[in-house]
Amino acid sequence: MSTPFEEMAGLDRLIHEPARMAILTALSTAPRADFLFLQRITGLTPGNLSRHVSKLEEGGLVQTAKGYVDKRPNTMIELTPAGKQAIEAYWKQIASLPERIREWDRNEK
Amino acid sequence: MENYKQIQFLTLNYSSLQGLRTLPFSTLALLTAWWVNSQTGPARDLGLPIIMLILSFILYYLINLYYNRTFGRVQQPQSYRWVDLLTSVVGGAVALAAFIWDTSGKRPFSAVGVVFALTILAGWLRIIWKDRRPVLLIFPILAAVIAIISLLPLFGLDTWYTAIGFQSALVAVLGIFGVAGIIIGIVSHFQLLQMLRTVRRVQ
Repeated sequence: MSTPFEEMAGLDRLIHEPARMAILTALSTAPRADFLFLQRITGLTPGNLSRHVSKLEEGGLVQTAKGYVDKRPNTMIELTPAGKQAIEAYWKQIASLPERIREWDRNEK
Repeated sequence: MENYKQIQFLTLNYSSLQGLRTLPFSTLALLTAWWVNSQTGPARDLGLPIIMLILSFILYYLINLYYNRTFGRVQQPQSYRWVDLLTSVVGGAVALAAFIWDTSGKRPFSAVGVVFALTILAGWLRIIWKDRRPVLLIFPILAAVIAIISLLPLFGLDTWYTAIGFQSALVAVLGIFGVAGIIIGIVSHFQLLQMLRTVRRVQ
């Protein structure tokens, strides 16, 4: 059986990064959101946000749709089914960690 | 963890927190109340109210554009869209019924005022429904103020509206609802800005 620290080390690196967590958390709440919204909540520059979204897209967690709104380019982003599963599993893993640490502490004593 | 809860709250309530959207029609309510109150005699020129209505639609469109271009877009979950639609349809029908009831005779209280108060309260409950955080308390406070004002005739204060310069309770309630809408709109907008600052600072 793995220790909680091994579990922490094994957290999905693609998700376990503050900016990407913020993106995925927002997208797990709403069906889809645009690039500008994600930029507002993360405070990232367009270039940085674009890199994070690309990584998530490459990992199959989100999908993007480019289009035009009011004659302006607009990119809508949404979670894929795999992305939904991954973020839910990640939250479960995070939520169980404090109890796992307490359990490990009791066993160590 | 709290930061991610705030992100969820912001995402879910993004459109509700874009309070400046309420300004055009709240201002219209206030100006309409002022206009009706200033009228004497049966002949009324409807030119000014029609211009105010057109301006409200134009202003609403521009504010909508400002939010979409400055803050981005979020699609609301299907359940929220249904709740919004249902609230609008039921709220509109109840408000119309209350208006007819209020204007068809002398009433012991203002039904329109009570509906306005309930509308504000419903808007607040929608915001805090999933994440019971004590935000935007101005909503229930103003809802309570409007409800109390609407019920004043029950306590013998039949002509309370004359104290604030109005000729009828209905028009006074409309004006107060307009002022409440303006306050709520501005406070909601600042709440949105403050929450955006907080989530960005923590990351």
